[in-house]
Amino acid sequence: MGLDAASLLQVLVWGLVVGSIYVLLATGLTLIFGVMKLVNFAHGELMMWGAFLTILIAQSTGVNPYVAMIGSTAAVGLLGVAIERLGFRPLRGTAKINEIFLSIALILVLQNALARFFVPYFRENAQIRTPYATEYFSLGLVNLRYDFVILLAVAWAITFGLWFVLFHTAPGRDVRATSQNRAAALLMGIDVRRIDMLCFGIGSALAALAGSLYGVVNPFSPYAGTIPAIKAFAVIILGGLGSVPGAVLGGLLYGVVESFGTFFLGGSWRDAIAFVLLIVVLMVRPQGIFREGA
Amino acid sequence: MSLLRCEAVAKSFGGLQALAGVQFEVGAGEIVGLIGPNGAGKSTLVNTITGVHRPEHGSITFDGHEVTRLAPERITRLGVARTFQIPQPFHTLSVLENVMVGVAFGARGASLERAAREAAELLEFVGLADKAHHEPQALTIIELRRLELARALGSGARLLLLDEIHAGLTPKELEEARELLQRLRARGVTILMVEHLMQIIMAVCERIVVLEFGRKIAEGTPAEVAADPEVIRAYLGTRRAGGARAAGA
Amino acid sequence: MSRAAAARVRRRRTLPVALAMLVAGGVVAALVREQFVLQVLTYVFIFAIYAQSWNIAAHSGQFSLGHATFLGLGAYASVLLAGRLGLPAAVAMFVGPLLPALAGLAIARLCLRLREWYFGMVTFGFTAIVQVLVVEPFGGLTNRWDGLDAAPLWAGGRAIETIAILNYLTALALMVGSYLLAARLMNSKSGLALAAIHDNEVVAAVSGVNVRTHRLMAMTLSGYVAGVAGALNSHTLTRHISPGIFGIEDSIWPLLYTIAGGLRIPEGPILGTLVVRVFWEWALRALGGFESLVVIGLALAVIVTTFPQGLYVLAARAAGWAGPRLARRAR
Repeated sequence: MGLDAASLLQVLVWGLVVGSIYVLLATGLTLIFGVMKLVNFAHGELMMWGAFLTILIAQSTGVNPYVAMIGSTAAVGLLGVAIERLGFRPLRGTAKINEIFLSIALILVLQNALARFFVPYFRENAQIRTPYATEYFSLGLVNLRYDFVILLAVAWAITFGLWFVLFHTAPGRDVRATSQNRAAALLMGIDVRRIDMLCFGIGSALAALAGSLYGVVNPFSPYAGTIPAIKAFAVIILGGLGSVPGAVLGGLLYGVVESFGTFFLGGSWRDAIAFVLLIVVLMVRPQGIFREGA
Repeated sequence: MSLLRCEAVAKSFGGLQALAGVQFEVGAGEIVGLIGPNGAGKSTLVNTITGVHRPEHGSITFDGHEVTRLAPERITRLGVARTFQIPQPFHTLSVLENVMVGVAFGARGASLERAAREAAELLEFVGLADKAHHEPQALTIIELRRLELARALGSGARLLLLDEIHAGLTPKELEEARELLQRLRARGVTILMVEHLMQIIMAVCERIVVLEFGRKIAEGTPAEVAADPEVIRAYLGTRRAGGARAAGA
Repeated sequence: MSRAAAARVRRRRTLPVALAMLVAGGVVAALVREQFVLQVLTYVFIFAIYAQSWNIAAHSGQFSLGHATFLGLGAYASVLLAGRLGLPAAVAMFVGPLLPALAGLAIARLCLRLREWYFGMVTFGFTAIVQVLVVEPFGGLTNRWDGLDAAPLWAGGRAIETIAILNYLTALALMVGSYLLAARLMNSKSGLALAAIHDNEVVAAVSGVNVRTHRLMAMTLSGYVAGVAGALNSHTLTRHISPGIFGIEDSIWPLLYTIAGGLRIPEGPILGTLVVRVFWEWALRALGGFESLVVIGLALAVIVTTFPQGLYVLAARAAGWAGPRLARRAR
């Protein structure tokens, strides 16, 4: 590929698309981290559950996959609530590293349960087929897939919606209060356990949505979620743990840097570039770009 | 001969000048009080003396050693120890082991066996002997402060910086705390105490240093300081502001 | 009073435990003739060494999510020393791990200001970076993605069964050695410093602990021990080394095994590796396929939610000899 403006623009668009998926993943993770101070590494598995459920709903009912996403997102949200109640809540107050252990156990369960149900139908890889898969917009230098436009619109509508809820509504205020100071929030009469459950549910639902959108632009398997989730974790560290603006900015930055890095250096550097970026940022700012809880 | 000498010590955080050229001395064997309204820079000063923060300007000498830019553990080993305003025990160690850390790594650098013996004696000294094998989580806030004191003493402190160890005590507990201070003094320890409770400062300190907005505004005996117009202004000022906040809330 | 208190701090004896492990392992070797069982147990011993190395770093509060860096570098260095320079595998196995020890030192130095998640993520990132370095700039030396064959630790016309037993006994001996090392360290004065750093770095520093030196020491030692496990693994069980070792899985094992057994307890990684691995192998054979992994995942989830302090504390409680010390450590 040459270094012409058109292909650079193409790389940028891809970076924005991938970045928007990271934004959804990272926002969910950071929301959960903010109130519960834990990271669910099985976030990527919830993501793939979302993608497969979207296919299942779309195929069994015949609705548009973008409509089916509503159902899969809600279902995974409920799954998240169950995981919080039965898994993470009993671990509160024990060693932090226990939560990573539980995440790993959840990865095993969710990944293999998914494989058990879906691999017989899809063999190795599945992809969500939308009715617009072959339609393009012309935008001067580049042709833009319809699906990219829809993906960006959905991702950013949800991100701004969440932003509005967090910063302009009463429940959002309770979430932010719990995130800043759990003990004080408890004293002010906020039911922090309900906030935990709510945030874990919303975070999981966001993962499912991210997975469904990922499935529109990439072929995927039950195992495809692990790496994006780890990168989303790197993103929230980059942005500052618990910071929603940090997750949004970090996710976009990450997607674009990764896209250009892969373009210029080649595929085997893809994962490493991202981590070099992370390490450099943390050397300069050990607390991430935005401080915790901002 | 002064044990601790601070000269023109300055420290800022971002745009906030927390310490703007603080100058004072503490003589060997003295009990000196450090007072001032909220945000005057008292805790910052304690953090700067112990090496947790590094000052931008000025110099701090302890017992003739320049300690301005030394790492915290080096300063501790020279014989400076502190307690924290909010007690911060080592939560996975027993009460005894908490004190052992100070004895083993402080000025004396004792072996584990000796550290265990001396730590047990120190727990007896602060009245926690029966809690030696408890976990810190089982201690009350007062007991935690005593644990901090024992850990600080264990590190071989000749100068002890006490950060508000009397806040929230009942009169009876205050009486016990005063008695403990007298016993500390009998051990020959020099004390610089940050305190809000004027009652205890007036009763035990020989000299008082008053800070406001990162500057020393007064220094002298309790009686001199109490009569100092600058101090009265600073305290009345804050009291009024505090009253206004309370009324507004 | 004070003497009684002092006596109670005197640490548990570790030598009898080490001897018991050696005897038990020897008895099993004498009785069991099934190759498969010996192989699983050899794996358990090697990965218990690896988990122990992680446990040492964890004792100082440095929870690494990228320990495969050290496992892999140790294996590569040893295999290359044996293959290129013709060093005997038994020597290369202990010289090669100096490389991951150095890597541990370097990473710890870079991460001195980082804690918890930040530390974990950076260590994870280094694994991805080291993998690329091994494959790309050093590809000529490492044969890129295809990897290298490893010289056998025990060879020279012996029967396969004999080699299997020798591998088993070597791994057992080194595991017991790593146990003694970790136990002595945790019960020593330095161990007290590491525990203090684990709990609160600022308070440790103002108590006179040199936080920097101790953190670097723990990671250097951890890197070395992990490297020995990696070298041992490639000279005995896998007889091959490839960049796949710098994957996520190999960074997860030590964490999984150690926490299941008992975090920051020297016996923890050994018990955890044994129980989890044996159960794992059993489930794979008894249930097969995806179901077995779902069951394993559920079992692990149940272990951690019901006994967050690990199986060793549970067993010790049941046997009635767990002091409050143990429970505190594992919190």
